[in-house]
Amino acid sequence: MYTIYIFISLLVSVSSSARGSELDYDGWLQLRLWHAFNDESEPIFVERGNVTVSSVRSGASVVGQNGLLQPHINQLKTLAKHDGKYRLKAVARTSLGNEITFLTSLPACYLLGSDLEDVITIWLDSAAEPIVVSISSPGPCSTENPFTNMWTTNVVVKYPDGGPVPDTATYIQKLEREREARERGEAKDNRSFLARYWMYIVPALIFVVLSSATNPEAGGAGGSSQRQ
Amino acid sequence: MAPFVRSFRGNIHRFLIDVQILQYLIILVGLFNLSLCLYEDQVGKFDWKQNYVGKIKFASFDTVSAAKKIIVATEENVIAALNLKSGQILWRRVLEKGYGGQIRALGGVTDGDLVSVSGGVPAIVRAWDLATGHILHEWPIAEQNHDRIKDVKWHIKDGTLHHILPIYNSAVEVTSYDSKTGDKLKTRRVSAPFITQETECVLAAPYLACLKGDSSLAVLLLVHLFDTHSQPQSVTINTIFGAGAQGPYHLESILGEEPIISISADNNQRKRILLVGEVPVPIQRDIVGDAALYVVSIDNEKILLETTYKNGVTEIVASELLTSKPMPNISTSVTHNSLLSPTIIASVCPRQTKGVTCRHLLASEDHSVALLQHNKLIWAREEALANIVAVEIIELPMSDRDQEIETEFDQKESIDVDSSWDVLSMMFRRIGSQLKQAKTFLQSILSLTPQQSNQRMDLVRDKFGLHKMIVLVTSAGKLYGIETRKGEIIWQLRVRGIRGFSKRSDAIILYVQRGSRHFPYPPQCVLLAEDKQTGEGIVYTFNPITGQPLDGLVKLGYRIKQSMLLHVTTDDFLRGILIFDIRDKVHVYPKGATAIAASIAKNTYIFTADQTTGILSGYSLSYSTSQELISHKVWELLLSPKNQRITHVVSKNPIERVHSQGRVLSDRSVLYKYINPNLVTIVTEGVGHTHKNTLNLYLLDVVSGAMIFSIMHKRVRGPVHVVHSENWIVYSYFNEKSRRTEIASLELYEGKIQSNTTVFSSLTTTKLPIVERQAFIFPAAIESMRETITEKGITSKHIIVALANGGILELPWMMVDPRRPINPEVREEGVIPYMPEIPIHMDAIINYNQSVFRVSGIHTSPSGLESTCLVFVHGLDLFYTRVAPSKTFDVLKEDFDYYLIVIVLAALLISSYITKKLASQKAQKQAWK
Amino acid sequence: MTAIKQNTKRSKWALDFAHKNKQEKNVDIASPPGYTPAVALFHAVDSIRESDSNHLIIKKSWDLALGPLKQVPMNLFIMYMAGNSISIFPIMMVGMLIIRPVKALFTLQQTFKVIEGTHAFGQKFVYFLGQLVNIALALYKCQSMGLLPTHASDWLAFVEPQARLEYSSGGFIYV
Repeated sequence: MYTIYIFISLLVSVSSSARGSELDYDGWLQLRLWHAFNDESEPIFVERGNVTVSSVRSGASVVGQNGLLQPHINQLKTLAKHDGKYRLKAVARTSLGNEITFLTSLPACYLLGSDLEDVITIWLDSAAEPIVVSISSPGPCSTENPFTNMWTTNVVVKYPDGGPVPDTATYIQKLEREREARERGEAKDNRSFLARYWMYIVPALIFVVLSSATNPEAGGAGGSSQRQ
Repeated sequence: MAPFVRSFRGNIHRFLIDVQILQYLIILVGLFNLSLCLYEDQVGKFDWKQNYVGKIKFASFDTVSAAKKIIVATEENVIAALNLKSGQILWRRVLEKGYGGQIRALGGVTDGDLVSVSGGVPAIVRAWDLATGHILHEWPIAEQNHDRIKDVKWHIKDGTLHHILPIYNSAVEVTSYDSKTGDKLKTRRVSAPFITQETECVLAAPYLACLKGDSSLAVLLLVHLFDTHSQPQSVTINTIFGAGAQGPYHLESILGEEPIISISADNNQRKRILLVGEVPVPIQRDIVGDAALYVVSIDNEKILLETTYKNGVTEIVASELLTSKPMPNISTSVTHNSLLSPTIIASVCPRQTKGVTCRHLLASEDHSVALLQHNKLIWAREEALANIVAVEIIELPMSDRDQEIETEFDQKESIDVDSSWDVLSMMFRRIGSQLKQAKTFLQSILSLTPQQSNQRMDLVRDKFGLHKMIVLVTSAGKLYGIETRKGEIIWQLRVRGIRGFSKRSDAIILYVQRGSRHFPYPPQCVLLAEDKQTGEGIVYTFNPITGQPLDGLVKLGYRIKQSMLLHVTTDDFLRGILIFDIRDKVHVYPKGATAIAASIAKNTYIFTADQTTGILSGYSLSYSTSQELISHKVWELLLSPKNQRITHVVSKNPIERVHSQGRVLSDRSVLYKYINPNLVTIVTEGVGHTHKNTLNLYLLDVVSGAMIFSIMHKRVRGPVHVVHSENWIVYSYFNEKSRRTEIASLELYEGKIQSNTTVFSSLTTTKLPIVERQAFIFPAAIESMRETITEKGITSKHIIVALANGGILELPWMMVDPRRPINPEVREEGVIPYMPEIPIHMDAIINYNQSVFRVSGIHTSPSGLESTCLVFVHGLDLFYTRVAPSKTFDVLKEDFDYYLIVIVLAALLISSYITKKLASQKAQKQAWK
Repeated sequence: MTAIKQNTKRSKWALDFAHKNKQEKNVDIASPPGYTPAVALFHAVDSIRESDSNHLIIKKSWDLALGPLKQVPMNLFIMYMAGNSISIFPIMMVGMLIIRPVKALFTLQQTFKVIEGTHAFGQKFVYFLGQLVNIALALYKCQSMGLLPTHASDWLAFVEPQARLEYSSGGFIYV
């Protein structure tokens, strides 16, 4: 009997502790990445690597990419000098077989300033299909050579939160509680007179005592003068 | 004293005993309650409303009832009665919106009852009372074939409604119903084996005329619908036109009581009339192709009226139908700027003692309606205002006098002249303008007539900036300038040959390039639209205060994909517009603004959203040179149209300012707001079986292409209305599960510390904001929502909500604040405890009893006062008012008693001096003692 | 009654030990042994007065210097009584608490003008310190009332809106 209760409570707690996933579907995702360093309006894309997300619900991913070659780093530095943007093209293949092309960009000087550290964020919609692939980098803006030519890439998978619902249940409960509290509150106040008003009586008493204490000398002097 | 008191008490006693007086007294006292409402004489003081009906589809004169009126049915699904003498609306009934309320037939007015058929599946037949517009009867007609709706013709006569449907290759099915009760009287089939999908058929009751064939061997076939024994008659084209007529031919039924049709030939160059009857009689007379025809009967004689429009002159030529004898006493010719290619939609020619006076109801191409009596226009209505697509509220210029003073400070003139010379000229100018001011002041005191200026005397900016000009662009291509005080139409302008952008639901884009603050340069507005024939973009510039075109219509020669108003001005204070064409090339209008545009090109981004492919792309102009602007794509994302359809892309109002950068919490720390000026809200609705009832909302930064936040609602459907402002988003939807309208709100915060106190750059922000969210139940259906806006953003924001029951609610943003606590431990400033429902207070309805129906949009504009916002609601009706969300904190109350304060101050000063004097005298006297 | 009557009718041989009137001042009564005459008294008084006056001056000046510190408990009590709300009485009290030390600080030189001596600087310093303590108390009271702008929310009105670096526009495509 108890074991069943424990089992059920464990199950409920585990399922509620699992990330409140609004995602009804799960799947895998494969991204092939190209990047462009040229400082013109038409980008010339070069292969960068690929990212495989085995389960979009958990967000576990594997990134496979090579480091940057020196000529590319020089191009990146020229881009950074002209405030240009580093462009990234991602072709995503989903478990349903669609191929979607995304384009995103980043000011090149951030990549240099953070030593080729970037974060690739993949946003999914409610059907677990990718809608946005964007790249960002935390680094400060700099045009110096990066310390390393290897990428440090972090992949984050995000999906929509559930929409808020008007919280009628809690409100009704609160009203009920207030009503009960008001009803109970009427009968609560049957303590003794002293217990209710001691806060006001005690300072008054202290005041009287103090004033009679300061007064006995005066009282004594007055009394003695009178006697004479 | 005592006897007086006693008698007094006796009187009161007697008084109170008198019950009658006591009752009255109680009622009188009961009436003194404090009510926050509008006095009757305040109606129309700060607001105005105008009612419209829309583009007229059917009209007929009501000559049977006592009060003469005109019954109209319009494209906006409205049935109304207009007063014959003034054109005012006597009564108006607004039917369902869209397809379900489309009026298909209107008739029976000559018999004294009004019957309308509206809707599609099912069609609803309603009988109305002519005098008051009350519904007398209503019944539906079930339609068997849903896809043949547009081929169905209706005929209403003698209390019977006939439903006529041609069935291809066999017959015409005529079903007759009693128009009041809906009883099916008769169904008959009249054989007509020649009717196919390509034949063009028109109804000329009681005949159906169909044109078969297109070449010179075309033949016109006539079927009598109510006589089962009659055979279809055929008339060849040559019988009508003689030899030498070329196709394509076009059939049209002529309005009027008789079965008469007109056939046009030679590509609408000429046309001829055929009288349909037992023996069809063609009238052997060529009529000009673009003439509108109407047949009216005078003394049982049929008269044909031909209306032609050329060079602003409308000419109506009347001739007898059968003999083609011209009747010059009925023919008229009118020149009026309200008329633009008018057609007669109803006409009545009663014979009166002094002869025949014809009244014609003319509907013009720009949706306006006018009543013509003999050659005088009695009234005209601007019905294009029922279909407004773009609104801008523009400041009026200062009066001439003030403008002259302003030229003193004109930078350009005084900049490179030697300062010593310049001071003298400025001085002379100032003296001159002061003398002029003195002269006008004296004139106004002595009430002499002021001299004429070239603008209306009262069309100037007022002290508080509340008097503005509303520029309206309608879907008929007509522009209006309406001043805000009384709603008077100051100017009208017609732009021929344009139409709205088809993918933006026929919207026309209106930008204000230059306001009226820069004196010698005229204010300028620009319209972007499509050419009617080619679909290429056009640019039309005009002066919004005077209504004169500036550069006129400029054809661009390419199709416009997107446009943007620059935020910097050229030397003459003109803001250029960037036009993004369909091949991703960027153009600047006017060309002279290219240099300025190139200087800011590095920080300028444009984004586009395509509804059919679901692709959103962002472009940067950073590779532009000062001669040419080049765009390149920097980000692209896809909202797959298999799963969702983009319905709204809402960005913030570009003139918005946010005054306070954070919210003060109860522990005196600050929660800083995340104010991203490049944030856009994208709302999509799910499509397909699995996602059908989902609503997705995405917050996207359009400079970096990064998504900031996304949220999804299940089991909800539209219509969705979104308000996006400052750091919050409020949107409404319909919850299918609980069957109620709900409002959800989101608010974005950076946190307790600001990431960057000086600048905001979309490219550097890597930290995502905290999003507070909450949802509320709203007890009414929403038609439109908009937030108020003020010049500096200090006033609190209220959301103006147009309800479906005709009211406009001013909802404080505090009520939809997502941080409303469910269990308030500590009361925070400006936050009220949570309640799941938003109550609709009747005194928050800003249009009290002036209901506004079918609201299609609300436009808000800042005024000169920080506390006041101007609200303009348009739809079927126009309503304008002003709201003060934080009460008018920057204005003294209206009955501020200046005089009392001045008198009291003066009295106190004088008395203090006197007292001082007296006191010193007294001290002196004391010292002598 | 009888005593008064008796006084008016005094016999010339009666000796009045109670009053010493002016006539008898010149009568020289032998002084008791060990009693030094007025000259000697002067001396003693002189020396006493001298040392006393120095002493007294120092004592008085130290009293003056420690005056503000003695005010501290009374100020504390006033602060406690005034309460933390913002209304006329607490504001008046706090105002008084601040203005008095500040005014005293300004008249520091004047107050100590009469005092010279070796400890003058020390006393001035102590007095100064005492006034500072009073001011600190008043500021603490202000802080607990919430009048001091110590939190970020007090400077919120001066926070400038962030300047915008990038400009964007767009929407649905038109064609």
